[in-house]
Amino acid sequence: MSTTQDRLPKQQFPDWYDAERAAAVVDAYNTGSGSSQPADPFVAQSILPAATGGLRDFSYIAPELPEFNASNCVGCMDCVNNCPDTAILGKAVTEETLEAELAKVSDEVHRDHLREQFAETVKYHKAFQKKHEKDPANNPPGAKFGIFIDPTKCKGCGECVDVCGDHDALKMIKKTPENLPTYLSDFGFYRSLPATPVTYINKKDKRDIMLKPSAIKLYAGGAGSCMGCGEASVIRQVLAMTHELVGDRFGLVASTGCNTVYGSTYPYNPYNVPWTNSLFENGPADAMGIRAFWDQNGNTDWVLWNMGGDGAMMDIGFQSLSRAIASGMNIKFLVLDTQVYSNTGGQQSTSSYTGQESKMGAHGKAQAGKVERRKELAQILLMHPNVYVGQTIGSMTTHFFKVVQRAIEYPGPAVVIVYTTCQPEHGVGDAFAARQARNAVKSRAFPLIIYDPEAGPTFQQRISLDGNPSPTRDWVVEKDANGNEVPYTFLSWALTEGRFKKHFDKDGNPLTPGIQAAMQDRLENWRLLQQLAGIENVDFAAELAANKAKTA
Amino acid sequence: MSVTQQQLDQIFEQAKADLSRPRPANEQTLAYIADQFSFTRDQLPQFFATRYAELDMAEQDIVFSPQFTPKFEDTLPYATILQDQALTRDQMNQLVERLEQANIKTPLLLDDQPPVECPPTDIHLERFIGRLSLDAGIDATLYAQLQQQCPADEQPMMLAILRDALYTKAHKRDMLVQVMNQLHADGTLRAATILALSDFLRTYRPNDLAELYQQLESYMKTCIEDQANANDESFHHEQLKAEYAGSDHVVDRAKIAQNHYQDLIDKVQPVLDVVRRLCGEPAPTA
Repeated sequence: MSTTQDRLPKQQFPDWYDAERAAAVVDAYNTGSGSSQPADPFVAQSILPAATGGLRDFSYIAPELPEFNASNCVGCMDCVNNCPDTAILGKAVTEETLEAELAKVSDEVHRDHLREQFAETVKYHKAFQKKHEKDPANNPPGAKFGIFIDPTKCKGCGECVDVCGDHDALKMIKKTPENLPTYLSDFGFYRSLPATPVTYINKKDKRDIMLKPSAIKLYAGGAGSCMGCGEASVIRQVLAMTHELVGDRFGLVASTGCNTVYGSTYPYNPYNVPWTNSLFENGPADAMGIRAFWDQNGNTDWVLWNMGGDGAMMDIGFQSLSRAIASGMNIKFLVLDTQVYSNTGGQQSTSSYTGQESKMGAHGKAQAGKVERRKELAQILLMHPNVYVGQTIGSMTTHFFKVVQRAIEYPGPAVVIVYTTCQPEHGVGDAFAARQARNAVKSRAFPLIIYDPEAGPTFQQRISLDGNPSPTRDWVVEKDANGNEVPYTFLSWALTEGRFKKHFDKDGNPLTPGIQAAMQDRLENWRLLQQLAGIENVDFAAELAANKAKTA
Repeated sequence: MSVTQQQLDQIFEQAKADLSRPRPANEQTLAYIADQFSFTRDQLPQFFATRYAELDMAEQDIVFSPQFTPKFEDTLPYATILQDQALTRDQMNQLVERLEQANIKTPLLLDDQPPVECPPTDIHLERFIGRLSLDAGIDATLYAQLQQQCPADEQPMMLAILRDALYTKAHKRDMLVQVMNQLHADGTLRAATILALSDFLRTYRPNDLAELYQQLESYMKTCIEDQANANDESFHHEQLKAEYAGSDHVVDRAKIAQNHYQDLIDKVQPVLDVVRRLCGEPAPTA
């Protein structure tokens, strides 16, 4: 059994950083003797040692773990990107290296088992091998690709299985006292392998950034977030892309919210990135101070992120955000939009949808959930001068990474608003962060938006709704089992979420005027965006023509 | 005995028919196309007309594998054709080439527009053919046992199960043979029990019957404990989605979790029962 000291990230610590003390504190908490520790110099300075979350052992939590079927894996990296806990990781390794490492495993049965964890995918093997066979001198051979689960980080949410979907390379299995050691041993083997050679990392496919140790280490896992948390995977992806573009030259200001609670529960800190926490309402002001200080010291190329939830950014800290972006300072903002105050117990926010049930927005006789319409932060912000605004979801990785990359590269303030599923407050399964986010886009609950002030001289050139399905229609139209056309509306999506369930009967029929109002709100919002983008809506045009004919 | 030309032709025709059969456009594939190439579902014809041919090998595989990955049920007709025989690597390659030359078009059904034809590439054909277990035969003794012991209506599924590469390992095959003999003697040999056994052997990797018994007991104990401890916040499950409709319907997450564990228990219980008897262990008292 390795000690905490052995497992500390292999890095040079600054002079002030007491690595031994950090290890002692974590060991004390891991063994339940935290209260017997002497007064802590870290606490005295409001400092959390970096990446101590990586030392947290969650292996007692998950009742089930993902099982990898290498023969079906395509190496898409969706599982790795969508894991909120850095609990599932991938690695490409040459056959030569793999066999050399396997030769060190003395037990033949275990060696065969480890070998079976590696796939010959088209992406990492066949595509390379084909070129290699034609010109061995200039092309590396195909590599084997493996997916490994860290059972000390996996909470058993099943998100990886859901996003793997019909690739059918992952399934959940029951954790038992017998298979847990195998997972630990397999993950140990993963760690013993050298890093994925750069040549196998697909430059076109941004998901592959997560093959780089430098990207993985940024968020060590071990955070206290809920199973399947939609925020944490998005944070991991943002950190990875930022590091990809600027290396270590970046930092985070976290506005208080869920992200700070699960990200800074002493002594566990998942971040291996400079991170500071301010209050709900003044993260942007704090970030302005840091930006000014960095700029005064010549660090104008350092990237500064301020992230917060919808409570921090749309409500209590909205003025501060507006002020910061109006300043023109080069700060990047990440809004983790759960449409509810997840951190403080699920109170209604201005981002909540009409009809959504929450605390302060209860569903009863007097009112059916939230009465007001949702505030659209993206639309408000893009009317500020020279601000890049992207509204996206983490599971549409191409759109997401495009938005994040451009936000970082944009020479001024940029805001990235991401729909982040909150399982307990939305009332959805723990495996459904990606699925519900995709369906939120499909149902017009959360349209994708890019507003880039440098994209052209006209407003319509600067705004893009690319990525939204059926962009010229009111709703996406599908057919039911009987062949009848059925629009996939806001109601179709709302029916799958517990926060709206009281609006429907047992057969899924909408019962209340409130949920109809919610659908109308989403339709009007979508039509407004279409008009702003210069997209003609054929359904709306037909509706207007019919109304005109009626009144003529 | 090797695979006959007639069997090869039958396999080819079966694969051609399967790949030509209209099927719903896979939602995961549509999501990839929309996200990676900015063609929404209503633009799928344009995608196939203008972009499809330019996909690199990895993109072809990642985007379309969900469409061309056969399920276990899909393997049954092939197992029936091949019985205990296996295709060689060359025969597999030739089959893919033959299918390529057949210019198959797979009609993808979309809800709101006419079907779109997807011409599967060699990458897709290899994906489909490679996951039908055509290159894994059945050990001769095991095959004879199957024919003697297994009810006729269970044989197609049993043939497909026993083609699993798992049973190329002698110690796994040995456990299977003993379990089949015991179930036959009891008059309860069913493919579903052997499928549950195969899943368990693959996942928990016991080395012999005694270890299998110990692991099954441990598995059951864990399931029963988790079932007893299930609470409102303890679990995720697919059923949650369906459970949310209904204004007076209270979602009981604990109940869903309990039912899930019961499903796991019910699946493995027949395996535990037979292995317990094989190991000479007494049945637990109520």
